[in-house]
Amino acid sequence: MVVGGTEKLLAQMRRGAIEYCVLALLQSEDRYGFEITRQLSEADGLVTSEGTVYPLLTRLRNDGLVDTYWQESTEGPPRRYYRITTSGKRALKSFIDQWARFRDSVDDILSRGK
Amino acid sequence: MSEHMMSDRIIEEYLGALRDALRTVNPSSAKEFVAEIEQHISEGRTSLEPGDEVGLRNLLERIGSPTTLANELKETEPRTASGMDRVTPWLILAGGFAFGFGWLIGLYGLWSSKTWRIWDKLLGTFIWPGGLLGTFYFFGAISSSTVCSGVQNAGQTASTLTCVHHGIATLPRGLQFLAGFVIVAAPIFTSFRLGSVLSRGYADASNPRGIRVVRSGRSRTRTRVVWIIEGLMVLFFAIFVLTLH
Repeated sequence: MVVGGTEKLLAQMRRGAIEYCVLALLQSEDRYGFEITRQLSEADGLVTSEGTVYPLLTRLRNDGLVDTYWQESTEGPPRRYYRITTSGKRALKSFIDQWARFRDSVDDILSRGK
Repeated sequence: MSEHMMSDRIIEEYLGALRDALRTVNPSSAKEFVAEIEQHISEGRTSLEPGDEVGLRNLLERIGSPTTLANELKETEPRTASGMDRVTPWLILAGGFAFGFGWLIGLYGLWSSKTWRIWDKLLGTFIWPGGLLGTFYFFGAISSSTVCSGVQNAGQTASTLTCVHHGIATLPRGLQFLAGFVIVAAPIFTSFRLGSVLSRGYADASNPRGIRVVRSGRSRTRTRVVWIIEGLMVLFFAIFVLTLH
């Protein structure tokens, strides 16, 4: 069981990481909100509530890392699609480089405690 | 009650609870967020059988409780500036006219805040001390003066006076205008910059979202342009002061 500060820290880490997971999902193709949340919630432990992804999508848009457009859907009302921008691609590349080093270092230190 | 009506009622209750939980959030953000969730529910319902109440409740549970969603939205909202932060750029600009006290209060707000970095604080303090009031002192200091030395006796037609002109009038007219413009524009630009930093917010140690330190390319370019303009202003001013002496 995680307690107080740890839970908050994990929530912040998750939130920070999810934004880049969204950017990674958008690299191959443009996606709409429901599709993005479903993809993320399929990954174990990444998203606890699907609805919490939407504020992150809004923030990515405000930061200029993604932009959006509406497209008609054959299955219902028009969908808002998210598309990664050049800044988003740059941010994702930088994150991927740093993330691998960060993850390896943390794993290394944690394994020493075993 | 039909199965469809029951499903609609469950959704309405959920959205109503969400709207209630979002009362303290910026109204436009809250409205947009509710619309996103509504759309998500519509998408999720397409894979459910009509009247599948259990499926619908599972869908809503996966989306998250209204309280959880409201808390998440509050966490990801941009930091709102404190009241003091908001008035500080104005006090730095025009506070000097309130017998100087306004500027001093602004200076306290600037240095005690975590919003601005050290270079912004130095800029706010020294360009110019007193803000716009400081420009009047500058104009006084650099205004033209003539110092004469020598002897001129009463009744003499020819004087032995030697006069030396100092100040802005000794510069070419174009430079005079440019100097005047820079002196007036500099404190306005400084306050504009302080306001711009305030609205953008820095992701530094004071920011609880410390994990997000990547800034967009557009933001970085804007910052570079502002620093170049500031550098040119300071350089020009230094050359200008040296020219006067």
